[in-house]
Amino acid sequence: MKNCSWYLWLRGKKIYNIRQLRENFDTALLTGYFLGGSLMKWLSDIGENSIIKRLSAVDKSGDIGRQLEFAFGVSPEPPDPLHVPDIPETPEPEPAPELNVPAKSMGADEIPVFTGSFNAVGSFSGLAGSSFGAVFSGLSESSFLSAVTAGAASSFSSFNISSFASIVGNAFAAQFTTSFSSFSFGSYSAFVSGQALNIASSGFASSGSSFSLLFGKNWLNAGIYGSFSLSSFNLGSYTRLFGKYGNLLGSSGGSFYGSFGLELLRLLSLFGGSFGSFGSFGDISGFFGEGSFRHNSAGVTITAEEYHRTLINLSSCPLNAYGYGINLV
Amino acid sequence: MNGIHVNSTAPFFSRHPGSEYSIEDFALYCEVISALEWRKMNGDIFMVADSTAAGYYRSLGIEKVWTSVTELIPTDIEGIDPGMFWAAGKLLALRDIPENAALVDEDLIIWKTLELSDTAVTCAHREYISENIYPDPRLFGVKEFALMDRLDMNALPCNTAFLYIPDSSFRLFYANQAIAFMKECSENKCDDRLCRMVFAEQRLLGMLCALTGTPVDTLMDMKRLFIAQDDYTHLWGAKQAMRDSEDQRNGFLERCRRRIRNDFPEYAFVIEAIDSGTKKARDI
Repeated sequence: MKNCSWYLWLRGKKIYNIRQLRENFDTALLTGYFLGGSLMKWLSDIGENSIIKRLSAVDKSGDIGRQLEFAFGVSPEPPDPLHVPDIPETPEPEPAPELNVPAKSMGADEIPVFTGSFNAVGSFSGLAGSSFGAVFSGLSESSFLSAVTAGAASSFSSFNISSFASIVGNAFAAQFTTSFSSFSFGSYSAFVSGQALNIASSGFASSGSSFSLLFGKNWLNAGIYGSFSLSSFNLGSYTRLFGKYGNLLGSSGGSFYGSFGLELLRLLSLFGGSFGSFGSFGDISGFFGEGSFRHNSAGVTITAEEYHRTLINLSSCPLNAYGYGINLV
Repeated sequence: MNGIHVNSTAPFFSRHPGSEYSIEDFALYCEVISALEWRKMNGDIFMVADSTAAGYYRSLGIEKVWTSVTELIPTDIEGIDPGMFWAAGKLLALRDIPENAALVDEDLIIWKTLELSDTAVTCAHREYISENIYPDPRLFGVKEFALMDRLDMNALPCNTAFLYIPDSSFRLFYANQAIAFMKECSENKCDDRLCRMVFAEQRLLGMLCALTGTPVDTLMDMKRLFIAQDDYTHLWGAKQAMRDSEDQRNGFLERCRRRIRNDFPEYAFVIEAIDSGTKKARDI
């Protein structure tokens, strides 16, 4: 009996020969190896040509597992070609998560970007935290827009109402279904929502399934503080809002979010090829603290130096809003 | 440490039937720098491709960027639906490469010499399980994937922009189970362009590591991905940003050209090759 140089993994064991395979026969895993293509190679490597011949006749439209059992001699009876295995009931799908963002205390998960350019330090001096919070307590697009235009236009040096109006849609309005508690912020605070680098099937992801990044600078220049609140990803040098299936809303030239603001609702159809790698990042709330930032629930600490570097990288390479380390090129 | 880039053209043709194959200039520059930087810092890197992609690189004259270009992936990706499973080529490559190597996405550049575990699976980073990206896979209705019942639904997915599996047999195990899932899923085509793919490629890997007790290491901490660092570049969503903004794209292209001229002057010829080759594609 010949051993193979590499093993199959069956029933928690490494399988090197046909005897071990029969003793540890695992229909589910062997079906995977068969459909995956390596089972035949393994058998070929150990010279089991008769089994290869039987497996070559497997009807892939039938019960593959039972045919494998027969081919390996584990089951004495040939599979019934007419037998259709019972299809297990699929569980009822859970209802889609609500697109609510729960209110948080200082260091709210989603802190919208209302920044001017980098030069607009102090442009938010007129905005107290509570009034900002009140801005986002409205639910509808129109109430949001009117709150912003009424209270904030004069505070933002490069706020572009028209692009804002063109961007805000139902999904955006739905994001602010709860009010934000008060917070203070400075010349840049970045609001991020949606799944990191896209791919939210329903637009804004609910809290806990994406991350947001908040940087702030005390408008009095008294220090540097910020908050990392990772419930959605939205960071960039210009505003982009992608609707479902990559339908682009808003304009890249508009500074709705000022220097930082990016909303990636869904880029699903915009990616292809072997680019792989999408994901989401969990909710992390933070708090303001001079000189350091702390992620409360997970204990991640970012130093002021890292904060500075991140902001510098983002300003020098806005593409970092969509990936990471792009400034290194 | 050897690495591989993987290019399967099947997804391109599923989105652009009847078109001539091409790769966008910023993507080409990124994969060239990714390959050259890998060769500088880590070892050989091979382009594992299908015949169409291999022919494309040769037609541009840039095949020497890689240690070699190997046609290992069938153009039809063994019947797997390329629309649903646009990264299937990676799993096929992982199954068929003759020797162990690290799988590096073309839009990932690694700027350092890696020191990887020779026992643990190393991926780029873990990911959280978000309903929108990683729904309950039992809802996919893939009835022949009997392994599903044994998988730990709490195992965190592994982002496979980078993947190194030191145990060849585990690499085959993972690749086979993922390919089996994709083949079974392809029997019932649907419009899902994300969830099933990331399950097959990323979540299943985490689950199989948990099932077999295989440890997992990461290059990056998922909680700190977007904090400034000097070691990794991943274009990720920036590709779309560059499609949408000529300024961003041109800025990135110019930085790539500068990088190649400064760091890899002997490969400066690829600049002309890419610029003229991709211009021709845009003009068509």
